[in-house]
Amino acid sequence: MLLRTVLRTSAGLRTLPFLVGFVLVALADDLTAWVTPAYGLSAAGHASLALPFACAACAAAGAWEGGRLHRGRVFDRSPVRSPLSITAPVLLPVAVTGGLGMAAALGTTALAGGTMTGAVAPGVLAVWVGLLLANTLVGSIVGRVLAPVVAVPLALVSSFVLNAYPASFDAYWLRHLVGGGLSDCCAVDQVLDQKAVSSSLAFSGAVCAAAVLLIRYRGAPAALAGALAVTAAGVALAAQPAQGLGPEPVLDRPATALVCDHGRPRVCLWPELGGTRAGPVRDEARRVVTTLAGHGVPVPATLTMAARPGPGEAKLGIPTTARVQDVAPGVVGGLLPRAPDCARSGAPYPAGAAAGPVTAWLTAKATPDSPAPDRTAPERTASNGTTADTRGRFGAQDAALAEQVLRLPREAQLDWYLATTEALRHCDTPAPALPPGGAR
Amino acid sequence: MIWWCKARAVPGVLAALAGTFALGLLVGDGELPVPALRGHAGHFLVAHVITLLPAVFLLHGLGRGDLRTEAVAGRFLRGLDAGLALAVATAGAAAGVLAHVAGEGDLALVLARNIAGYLGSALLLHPLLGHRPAAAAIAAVPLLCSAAGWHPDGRPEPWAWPLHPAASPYALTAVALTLLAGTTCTLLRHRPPADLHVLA
Amino acid sequence: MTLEFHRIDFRYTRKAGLFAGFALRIDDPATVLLGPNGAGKSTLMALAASQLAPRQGSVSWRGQTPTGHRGRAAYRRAVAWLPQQVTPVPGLSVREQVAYCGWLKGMSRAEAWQASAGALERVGLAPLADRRSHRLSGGQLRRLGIAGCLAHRSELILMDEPTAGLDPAQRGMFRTLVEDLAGEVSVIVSTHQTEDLAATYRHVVVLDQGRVRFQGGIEAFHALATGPDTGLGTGAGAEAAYTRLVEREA
Repeated sequence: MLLRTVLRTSAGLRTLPFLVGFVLVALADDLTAWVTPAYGLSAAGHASLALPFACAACAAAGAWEGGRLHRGRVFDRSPVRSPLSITAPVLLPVAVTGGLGMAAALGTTALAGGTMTGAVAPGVLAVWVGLLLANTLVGSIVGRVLAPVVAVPLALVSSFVLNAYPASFDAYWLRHLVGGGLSDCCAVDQVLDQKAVSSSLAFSGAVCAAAVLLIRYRGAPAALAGALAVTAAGVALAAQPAQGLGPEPVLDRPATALVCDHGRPRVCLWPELGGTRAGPVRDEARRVVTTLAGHGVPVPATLTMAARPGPGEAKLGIPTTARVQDVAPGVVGGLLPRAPDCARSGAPYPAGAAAGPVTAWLTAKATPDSPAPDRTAPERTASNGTTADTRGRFGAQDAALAEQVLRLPREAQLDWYLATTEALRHCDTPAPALPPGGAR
Repeated sequence: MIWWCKARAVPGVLAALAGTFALGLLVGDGELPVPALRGHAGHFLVAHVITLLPAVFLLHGLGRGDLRTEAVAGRFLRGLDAGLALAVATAGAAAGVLAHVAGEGDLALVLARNIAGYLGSALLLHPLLGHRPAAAAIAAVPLLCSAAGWHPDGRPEPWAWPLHPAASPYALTAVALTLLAGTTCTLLRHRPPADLHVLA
Repeated sequence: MTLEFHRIDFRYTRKAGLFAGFALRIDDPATVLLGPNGAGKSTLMALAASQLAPRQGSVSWRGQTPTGHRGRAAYRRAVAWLPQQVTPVPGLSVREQVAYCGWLKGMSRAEAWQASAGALERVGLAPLADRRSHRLSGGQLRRLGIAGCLAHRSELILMDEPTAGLDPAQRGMFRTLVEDLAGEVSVIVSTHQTEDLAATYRHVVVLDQGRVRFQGGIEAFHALATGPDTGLGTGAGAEAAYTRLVEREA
């Protein structure tokens, strides 16, 4: 078929302005809400929010095209070409339309994240391509089997439900088959778990293969049985890597990607925090650490943005767009111990309430020239939900308690600090009481 | 009349209505985790989507006859078609009220209202687009609502009538207006759907 | 008994104008409408059937125009139309679909059911009356469409390519049917087939690119071939006349 004929008649291309308009107008706010600045993988992951909509558009347009071929009795004219080679050129623009819809979503997130080149994440893109193709092919079969007036809405709605619904199941592996967790990828200290990619690719590949069988052999009983077998095998194959995954298909980002210097302390930053920003951040981090050390606070040899700092390292919890004033809260947060597993699993955590005053006290020590500020939480990191998440979120009460501690003698303050941070490591240790003399 | 009922697949439309109600009462309050929009996901229910079914089947019936012969009928078929849609909407409303009285809660009223709204949309779009594009267009309505129909504070936008709670005056008004506009459009529009124009 | 097109303007799209100021008056009971593909024959039939409405001008049958609710209903009761494509209605049997055509034209259910039997008999489909209409062959479907036109008491029957897909025996039966009908109602048939025109029709209209190239009696049409005494058979004469009249399709 001539390219201009395809372009003129394709249901997919007619759908394109609606899909792209939908992504840019209706989804833009959410696409851009949680993108990690300058991190391409985050832009790609968050663009996946548009995937159920693009898949639904592909399925509906595929159903329309399938119905068109059926109504035109194209396969009843004893064609020399195989049904597959007749169908493929008709469906290709549909899949391309879905791809362009996702490209619009990716452009939106990449623009919001300020990273255009880094947003091309092969794993995420592969999942998109697989699912868009699978939805297009299955849609075309629905269009060939059912009356078009029923097939198109059915394909549209059921594709949307099937692509969006698994994300609500407690069985997490189901969502990874349809790329349901991709939109939670990734904070700057995370990377996409390739198991999620291989799981989704196995699933979409099996669905594509089953659909190809049905198209090639026009729904013959053997083809139907083969398609069912291939789909079942695909689900089984896809379930294997997805079984161990949590709701978010992410891993800690390898520390080898960090850019470290050789100062004291050593400061390791992700390359996304590069350019002119890195130097002042490193200088400020050292200044804060030196100041704290001067007050007797034990400081680490290395400050790192890695998700899980190693021995002798402390987390530097700053965003990729960090300014100098973000560094002190980032260093302070890293000096607090991570909440123990028992606390994360909901067990009583009596020392938890002390995190605020300790943060306020450390902040006051780190920035002695300014009163304890009411800071906002730094950017999302892998340590979300831990004690570090509460750092900087101290209010008037925490600040007042920190003020009382600050009036104690230096040694008493340090004792209180060490005892409190030790208590924060356990669920069964209450925070120490304020030594006498602190309060008036 | 019986032949017209057969041509319009009226039993299929009624079965779709009954099936939608049964399914809606069983799993209609199940929540579809539509991607959060404007920071709030809202509660996008199965009932917001499946209520499309009777309208889709109505459009299927409107498009399956001998459209050319029907286009030159001496009888006022457009009136019958509009009457069928209104009758289905009324039957849905009656079933909704009955189920509500029987203790099925507000969900039954939401089902009835949304069925009527989608039927009105079908009546409105069918004369303008033809039955196939109209079916695709109304199927896009719940998707559009799910994606863009939530206000940042978590309430549905006034125009996103399928998402509103049963007691919403906005949704009732929107559905009534849609039905009215659809009926008017069906009764008054003489031009046949575009796919009949391939003659020459 | 006159079908009249009065200063008709019609176009499908802005670019594709078909009729501009078109005028035609047909008052013969058996008229054949000839013309190449795309000449506007089907559109003219659809306009006459009131399936399409002209942008300007009017169509009337015996002075009745298809305007207003009552006028349209009266016009449509009087005019039957066999479109080029007959669509089987899923769920209806052959007889039911024919009766449905009668019902659509305003007959009561009982009348339509009764009339459908006779109509099917006339087109030779009575043995298939109980078969599902979507299980008919292409030729049988056309005969079903013709039966639908016969089912109600029309005064004018418009048939668009009624013999397409019919075998020679069925075409013969169709010619006999038209000859019979011409004694009862007016018939206008659009066709490409020029054989046996003289035996079936008395009046010829040749249409090309939205304009009337010829209108007149069958003898005058045949005379266009080369002259009145060419020695050509009637079929060959009609074909030669047609070829002379119509410009070759681009």
